[in-house]
Amino acid sequence: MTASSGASQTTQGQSGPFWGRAAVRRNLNAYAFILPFMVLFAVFNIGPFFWALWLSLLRGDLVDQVKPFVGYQNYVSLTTDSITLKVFLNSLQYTVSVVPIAVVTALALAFLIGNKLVRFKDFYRAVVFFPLLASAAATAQIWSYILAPRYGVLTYLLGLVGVPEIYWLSDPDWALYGILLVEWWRGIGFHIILFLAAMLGVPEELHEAARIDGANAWQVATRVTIPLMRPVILFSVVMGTIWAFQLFDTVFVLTNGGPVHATATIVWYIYNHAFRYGQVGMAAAMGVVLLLIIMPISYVQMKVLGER
Amino acid sequence: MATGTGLSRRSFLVRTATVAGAATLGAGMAACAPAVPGATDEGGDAPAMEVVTLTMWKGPHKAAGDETKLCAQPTIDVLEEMHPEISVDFSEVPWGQYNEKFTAAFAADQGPDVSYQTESFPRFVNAGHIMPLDDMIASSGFERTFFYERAWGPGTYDGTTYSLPWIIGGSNLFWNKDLFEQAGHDPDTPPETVDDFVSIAQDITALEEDVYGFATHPKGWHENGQWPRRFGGHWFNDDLTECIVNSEEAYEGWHFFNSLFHDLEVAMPGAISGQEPGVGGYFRDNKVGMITAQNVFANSVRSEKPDFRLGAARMATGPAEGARGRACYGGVGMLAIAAKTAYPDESWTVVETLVSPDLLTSWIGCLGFMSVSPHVNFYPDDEVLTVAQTTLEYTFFWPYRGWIFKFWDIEGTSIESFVLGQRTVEEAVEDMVEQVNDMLREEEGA
Repeated sequence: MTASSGASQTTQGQSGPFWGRAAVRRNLNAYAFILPFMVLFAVFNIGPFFWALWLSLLRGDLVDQVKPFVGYQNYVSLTTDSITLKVFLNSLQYTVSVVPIAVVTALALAFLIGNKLVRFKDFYRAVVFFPLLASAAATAQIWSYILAPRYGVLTYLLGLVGVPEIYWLSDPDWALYGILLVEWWRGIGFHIILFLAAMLGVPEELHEAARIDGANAWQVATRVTIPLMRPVILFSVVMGTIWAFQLFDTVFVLTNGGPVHATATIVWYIYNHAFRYGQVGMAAAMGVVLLLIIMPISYVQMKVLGER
Repeated sequence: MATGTGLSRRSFLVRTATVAGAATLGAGMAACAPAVPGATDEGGDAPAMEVVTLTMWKGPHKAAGDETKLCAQPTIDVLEEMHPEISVDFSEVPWGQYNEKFTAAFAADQGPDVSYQTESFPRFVNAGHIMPLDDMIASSGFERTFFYERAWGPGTYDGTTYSLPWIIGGSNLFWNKDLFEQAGHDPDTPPETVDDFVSIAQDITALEEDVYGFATHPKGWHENGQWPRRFGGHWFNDDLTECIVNSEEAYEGWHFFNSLFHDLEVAMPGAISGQEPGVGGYFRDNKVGMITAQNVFANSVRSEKPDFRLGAARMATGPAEGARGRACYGGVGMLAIAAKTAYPDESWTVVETLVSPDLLTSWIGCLGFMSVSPHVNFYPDDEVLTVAQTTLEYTFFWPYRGWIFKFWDIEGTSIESFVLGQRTVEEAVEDMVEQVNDMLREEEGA
């Protein structure tokens, strides 16, 4: 053993092979601490994942005691079902709309709230975060009245500035944007809180140095603050994308996928197959396809946004 | 390494894990141990009566207000007095969670002992989760003629009776007497034919810019799907293997319905009626002259707007002969028993008692539904609801099949697409028929 390797062993504590009887014995305490989590993770994540994979190869209702094996037939059926394509396109359209809008507006609002001139910051933090704490079903119900055509508050306010009546939830051309508006309101607090925390982590001396070098506020924000917030922005974009693809409850309450499937999303369709249509195999197959969509998108986002 | 307490870190971990494991196991075993009926010690020398607790789930019908408080619990209290050996643990399961909760419960063999079932109940029958009742009906001497004959149909599947009729929901024509008067029509005379219907609707629509003669939800599958029937069309062939709602007669109905929105323009645009406050809300607010709705709607109007002058009658007739010409939605809500209940006899007692005249009246009559029995009149002194009861002969039940939800989604979305002007009637109907027939073939092959 060389001196340097000895020093390394001293500074890093117990190193050496991770597996093997001796290693297990050496790390027993660590294993004991992570065991509860690993058990729960296996029971509630890994197990259901493989169960869903298996279900996607079966046909029948969730309540059926015997479900015949049909191989990849459910995956073939997905390609011939016209509504499946529609729900995947809806989910995609919704995701590419809501994620950039939510992240950019949240960033702007975070800068606004984080500004030194703004007082009562904690109050604003609480206000923007509140929608996330409220029940999705309850807030969706409230929004259904806000967005109502004749009596809705939003319709009234827009009417004051001359905007004609918009059928936010019942016009197929507008309904997805009605849902987007509600979800933007619900989710933006999460992004703002993250960004505010990240902004606090940017050393003040870097801001000062930039100002001394003659940078204006916009340049400080775009050249110093935002680049240093990149890991948090990346997290925000990835989580926003995953949540967008998983959109369900607001759609379920506000439009139930309508009008004419304009707001039908993947998870809404999975729910219907699993619990209303008695086709759990199709539901599981869609779930697997959704995973296959989210995984590469998240990977690409991490690669692109994670690059320095 | 020993610590000051004489307990090594390893020993501590091992002991903690052992104690936690034992506690968990003990708690689990206690939770899994079967409850002893009537185990509660009441004291005294008298032997404790064995009380069996049965679970009962039902979807809420809130037109009369809080169903559990006003209708269900008072009825259950009477039932428990009549049968002190039975306790009913009643839960209202919201309709939004109905399918997932029942599916999950039956999939885990944890379904409620007694449940309220609707059109999709063959899903659970096919999977062996609902108990056949023919033997119990025969051995208990239950008189089948107590119910309307057709009320038995929905709960009978492949020749076996799986449930007792409990609720009959049916739709009627409701109208706003004030708007009738303002439009120059007799407020007490409903339209006799669809031509009269259009004439009155036109006069009401002419009253004000945002008032319409008629309204329906664009995706209202119960109500909108009746129009082809009123013109002589049929949805399915006799053995339910083919959708035939694209016949010539059916198309007459579809085109007539479409014209109410796009040619005659007497119907509230679907984009408005499809959002809050909805068809019922606009009707109550004097923005709509006529609607078709389930008869429980009458209670809802009365509770929210007591002064509203409400008219109710059978729907105006279309060209089809007899009852079909006035076709309206109808459905039977039923009481079923879980096949795996530990207490089949007690469950039967509950079901049989709940359909007895007094309890039927105190729960289902309280909700404002029609009676499932010709021997029970819920509303002898109520003119509107008595009329509603007579509309039973015009109601048409949807098929009671496991695929009904998928069918309703296809139907509702297709109709909605031409009501909202997204497709022509022909495009929507042909696509709908194709989708439904694909679904039926798939079911047949399953």
